Amino acid sequence: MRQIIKFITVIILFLLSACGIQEINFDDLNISENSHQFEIAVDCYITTELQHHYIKLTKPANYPNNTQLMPTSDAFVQISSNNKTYKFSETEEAGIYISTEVFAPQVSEIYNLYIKNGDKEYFASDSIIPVDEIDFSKLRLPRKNTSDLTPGQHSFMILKHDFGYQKMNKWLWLSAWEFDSITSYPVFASSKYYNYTHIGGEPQGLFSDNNSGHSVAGTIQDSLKVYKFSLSDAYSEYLYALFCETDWASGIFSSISGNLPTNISSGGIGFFYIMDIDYKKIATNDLIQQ
Amino acid sequence: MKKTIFIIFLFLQINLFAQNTATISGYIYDKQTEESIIGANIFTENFNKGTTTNSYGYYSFTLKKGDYNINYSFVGYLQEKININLKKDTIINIYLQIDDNQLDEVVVSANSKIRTNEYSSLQLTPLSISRLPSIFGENDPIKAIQLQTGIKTVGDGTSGFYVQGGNIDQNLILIDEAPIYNPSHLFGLVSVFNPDAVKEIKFYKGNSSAKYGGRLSSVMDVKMNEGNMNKLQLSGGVSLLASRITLQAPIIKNKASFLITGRRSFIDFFMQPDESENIIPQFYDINLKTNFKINQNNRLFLSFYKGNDKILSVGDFTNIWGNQTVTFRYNHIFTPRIFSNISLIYSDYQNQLNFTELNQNISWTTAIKDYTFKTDFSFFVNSNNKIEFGTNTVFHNFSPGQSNNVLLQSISQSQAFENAIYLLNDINLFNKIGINYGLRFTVFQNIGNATWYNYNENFYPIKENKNEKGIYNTYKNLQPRISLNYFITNKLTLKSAYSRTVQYVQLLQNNSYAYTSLETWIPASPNILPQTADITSLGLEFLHTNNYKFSFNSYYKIFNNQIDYIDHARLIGTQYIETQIRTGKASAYGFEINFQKISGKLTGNISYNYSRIIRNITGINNNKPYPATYDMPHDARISLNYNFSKRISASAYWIYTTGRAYTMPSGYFEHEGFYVPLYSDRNAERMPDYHRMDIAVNINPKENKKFKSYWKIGIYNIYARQNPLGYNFEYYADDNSLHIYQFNFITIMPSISYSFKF
Repeated sequence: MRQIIKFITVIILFLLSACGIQEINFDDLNISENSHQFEIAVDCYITTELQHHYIKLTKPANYPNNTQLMPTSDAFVQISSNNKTYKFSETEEAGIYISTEVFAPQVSEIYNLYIKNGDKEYFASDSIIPVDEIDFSKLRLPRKNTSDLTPGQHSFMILKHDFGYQKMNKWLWLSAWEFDSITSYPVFASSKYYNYTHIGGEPQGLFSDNNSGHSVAGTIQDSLKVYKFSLSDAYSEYLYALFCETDWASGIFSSISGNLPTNISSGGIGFFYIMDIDYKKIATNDLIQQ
Repeated sequence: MKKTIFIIFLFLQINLFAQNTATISGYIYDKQTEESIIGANIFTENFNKGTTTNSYGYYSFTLKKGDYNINYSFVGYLQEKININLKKDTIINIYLQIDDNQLDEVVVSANSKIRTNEYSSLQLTPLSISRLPSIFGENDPIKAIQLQTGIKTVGDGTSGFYVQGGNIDQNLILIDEAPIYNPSHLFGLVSVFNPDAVKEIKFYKGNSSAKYGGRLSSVMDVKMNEGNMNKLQLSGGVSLLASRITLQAPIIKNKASFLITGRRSFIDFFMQPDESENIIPQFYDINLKTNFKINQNNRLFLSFYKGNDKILSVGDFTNIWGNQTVTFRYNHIFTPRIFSNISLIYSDYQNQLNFTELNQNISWTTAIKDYTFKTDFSFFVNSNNKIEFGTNTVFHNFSPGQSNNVLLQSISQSQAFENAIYLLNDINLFNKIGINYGLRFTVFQNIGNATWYNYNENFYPIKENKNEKGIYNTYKNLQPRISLNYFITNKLTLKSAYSRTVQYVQLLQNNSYAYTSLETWIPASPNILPQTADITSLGLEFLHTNNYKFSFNSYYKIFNNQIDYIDHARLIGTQYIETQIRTGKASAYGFEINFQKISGKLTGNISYNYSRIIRNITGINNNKPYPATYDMPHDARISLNYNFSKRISASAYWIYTTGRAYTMPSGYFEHEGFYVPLYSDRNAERMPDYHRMDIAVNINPKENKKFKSYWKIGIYNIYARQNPLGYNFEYYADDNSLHIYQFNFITIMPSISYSFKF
């Protein structure tokens, strides 16, 4: 009898699990052509470092007619603050604009973005809040991961999201041999390396299994490069919504879907933001001791 | 108090009805078990008047003195006839015998000659539920309700349901008068109602009488069995999900009895969570009831329910939730025409998540506890007139979210009193008009130690308020209810109704699939106004020779202070919970056409329902109107049951609805390497149309067998329709391609269940 019931139990679980997921074609969805046609999405990499800064403009995919992202070329882009204006010009990579001069945005200042794309104009502004100094003693982000290592090497798993902090911050952890400095870092192509610390616990994130992060490695003599970025309140809210729609979208506490908040005017999407930055090196050995 | 009420009623009786009348009263019982029968019919053939038994099986029928032939009947029982020369008030208790022949030819509707003035009510019994197809072979009262015309669900296998545009928290679900705040076991696959413990279900769709309050849209009033008064009886059964057993017996023969039932899932006996199945759910529930007939005029009842669910996982995640209720009731008959009930009710719902994060044990608990004192009085003035009134005082204790760790912010606990008085009159005039009208007056008071906040226009907290004791906020509401029937002919009735309902507690549930078990109940407060609904209904009912019934019902409903959530709402671990919701208006409208064959070998119904629910809430969807996610305009159903013989019957159920409204990505963009979906409007797109067919065969025991065996074999979703629950859009940067994944529930599910009784 026990075997029969076990057999039935296995059948139920099989049937329940068999009802899971199947891939379907886009045409099966019968998505109507919606009234919103999003024209431009803004992303940027502007920090308080004295360097060239970047702005990326794309035309979002709008279903059902367009399922691909397209770069937005030939736009006029500039930012300004306190009567100073900094122009951006398009790089060889379509849709990515670089400041024509080196400059260092100032903490607590408000910066305004102006974009003209064809006949349409877009405006946005953000203020820079100061970043708190990196304090490794209060940071739990690195997780030791010694598997698959050759003798003398150490690898650390940096979780994508970590919880229980006083402020929300963005981080970048790099191994010693990865990029000479952040200025040469391909800012838009490799943003998957960013990590985030969150205020308190975000239930959608805590219960999400999508928190794989990435590894940094080095020998005991090496140092790891750590960058910490400040986030304005508005940009923090934007990132929370972004994670609800991406990393945390399939958890048991998945939230109500919706568009991300934006500070881009005239129907633009994305976010214009400027971050204060702190940089430190930490010896691999010191990290092992923690 | 008792004396005063008695004198008032006496005064009314003397002044209004001191004519040449007398009253027949008593209880109607099942002959074998001596269980009282709810809704049984009492009808005088020569006078063409009738009434029904109340929730305790009591009836009172006042007539002019004289000779009468009186029929007592109920679906599934042999009719009992008596002749009486009525000279004075007479007590007649009737014992109805189960009609084995009715298993051959079914009658699914009550006596059509007895008119009810309630606008829209439905009575279900375990027998009628057992004839319906069911998922996993579990006969389930809530699943049976979901099969009824106009009741919507947003996916297979959930215990939530939507009635005439109302949300799932706008249904008042009662077990022996105690509210159930989460009716789900196994995330909704099974409801909390053990079919062996259920005696009767009364379901009010939309307009309910002034007796009920606290929810906007429907009332599901479940009454538990009382226990066999004559002999020990053991019954039980097993389905694919759970096994159950029931013991009932007299404590003092014909005076007192008890019933105890238990049900438990058994998956966890044979499997533990591992890598292949990383979550294993388990549940159990227990029902206990005992009653004591002190004498003809006094009776005591004690009911108890406890149910618990636990999710076991490979990690350190556990989720435990459950309801617990206790109801003590005292029935007293003042005079044959005055029946009363006093209830003391306790209801407790708790849900706890436990998990480990950052090497810390974290728990998140939500709970709501109610303590209720309730009185109900019925005055059977005469065969055309009944007056009911009563009081209801509930002390709510809310714990919307308590955390043991700073990672999650707790939500302030609070208490409230919800007081109500009601008065209603059910009266028939000129043999042509039936009116059930009444008034319910409610006072809701936030009291005790509490913290709340004032917010600015951007919903940022600007001031903290504290109250240590006493009342700090009060809402008062008058709720008029009226149902007016015009009996055009004996067969044709024009029906209309209006009611205002008010709801002071609301559910916050942050999941678009409706499968989460983590309910958070919060009260109306200085920041959250009570929800209200005004419902106007108009309908027509035509009965043809007790065989066929046609009905048409239309409604228009306006909701005020309807709640919805902002985009990306945080409902867990958020101290400022009010900032995550917005309130506004909603309107629901629709009509239902229902054709029913109510007797014979073949019974069933065909129905069509058109309905819309549109919300208009400032701060949601750019302040534009949008459909609720359970807006499914077209809904057609066919339900058939055929009795091949006394032993074998078969049933089939087919449903078609428009796909539910859904917020589907309408594009995407890239930010920081994330591919972020874009949306047009909230719930602007629709899922594919939903349809499925279920079948079942019931095999009943041979006649006169002492040990009775019942088998039910069924197939859920027989043609394996893949009805989606949701979608996941993924963009793969490697090959620049978009992939769409559809989540389905069960495509086809055979089931078998076995029950026994001796």
